[in-house]
Amino acid sequence: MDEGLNNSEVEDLYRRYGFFLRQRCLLLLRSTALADDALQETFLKLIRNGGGVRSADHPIRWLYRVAERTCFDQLRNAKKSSKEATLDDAASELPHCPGTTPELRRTAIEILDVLDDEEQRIAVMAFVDGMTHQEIADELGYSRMTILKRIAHIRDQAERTTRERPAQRTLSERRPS
Amino acid sequence: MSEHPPSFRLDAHAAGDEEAAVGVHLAGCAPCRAYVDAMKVGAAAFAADEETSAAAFLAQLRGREPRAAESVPRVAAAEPTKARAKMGTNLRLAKVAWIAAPMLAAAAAFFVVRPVPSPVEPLPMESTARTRFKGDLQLTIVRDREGYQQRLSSEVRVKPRDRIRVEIGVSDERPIVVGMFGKDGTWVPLLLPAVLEAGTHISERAAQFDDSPTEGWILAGHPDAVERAKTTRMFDEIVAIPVVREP
Repeated sequence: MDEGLNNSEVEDLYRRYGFFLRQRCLLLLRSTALADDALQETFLKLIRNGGGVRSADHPIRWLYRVAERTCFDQLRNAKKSSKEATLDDAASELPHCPGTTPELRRTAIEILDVLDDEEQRIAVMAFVDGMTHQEIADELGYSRMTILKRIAHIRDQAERTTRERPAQRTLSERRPS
Repeated sequence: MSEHPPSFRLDAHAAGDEEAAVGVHLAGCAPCRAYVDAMKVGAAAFAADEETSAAAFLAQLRGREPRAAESVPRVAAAEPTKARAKMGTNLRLAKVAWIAAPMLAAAAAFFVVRPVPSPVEPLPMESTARTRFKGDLQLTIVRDREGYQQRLSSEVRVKPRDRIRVEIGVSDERPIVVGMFGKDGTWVPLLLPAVLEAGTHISERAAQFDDSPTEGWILAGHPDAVERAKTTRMFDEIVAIPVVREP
């Protein structure tokens, strides 16, 4: 079992990555209160069992995955509650994600709470991190074809949601493809 | 999908984990540079804000779960060395091994796990396997379905009553653990943490699926790396073969 982190390590991680982790939580949960709660829960997990981050090649990526799982759990718990904020503020900060439209990307993030556990992770990798299909396949241990199918399913759900929604907001992006 | 680095690599760069390849990209990509600069500004403002200071945050954690945030001298200071991860002492293995028994018991609700004779006789099986190979670790799943055995190394499709075991090939002596990690977080060990000598080894256990097979992955690798993967569900350090339910 992984060892946990001590106070000093937690403090160092928070100073270095706290802002980024909170941004990620805010993007996925669209609620300041939920995001702050998820951030705390993420660090409690690290205190209990976060020793793996010490030898991670990309600590921020490791931390993001822990934070994302925490957010997914919160999304499941808060499924019926309304989100207090739109995605615009947080999503507009994201780098450009080629291969998708801003609207589709935003909708894919908005429908996270109706996706299953694995599709949530794939959606974040594809639509938030902007990872390639191959990168996602390598990370999850699936074939690229499987990932393509899963992303197509997420797109279908996002597009259906988009069609059913009357008014759309515009997602401004920081950079072009 | 993208010629730009994934956003987490840009974020890492903005957080101070500078990566040469990202630096090269930023030098030629003004929008990415603007993104990273904006993140740096945000991070600086976050650090300067007393409400979000580390001290305040730790106080919140203590308030939320007092015991969790108490200063506990658990380990030496962070030393992110791969050498440490590769040491693989028996002591460390023993630490990992003690968790296997209760997890096995927990998993019994959906799995029947039982020892299989070893060594196993050569199998009359379909030999289509493209063995999964990672860091000189080769993993092949042998699926037994009504007496018909098939070697698999990409995706393993299972039906009720199928039985699986694994073959592990290593090119040098190393600590290894292999098990089935369910999507619901359960863990069924197929090979308890052990130092394997170079060669091919058969798992000491087989797993038989019940009437409602649980999907997940067969994970194999260094015990520390497998533990990390189970926490993060990132399988880049280990070998992972998906197990999916056959319709």
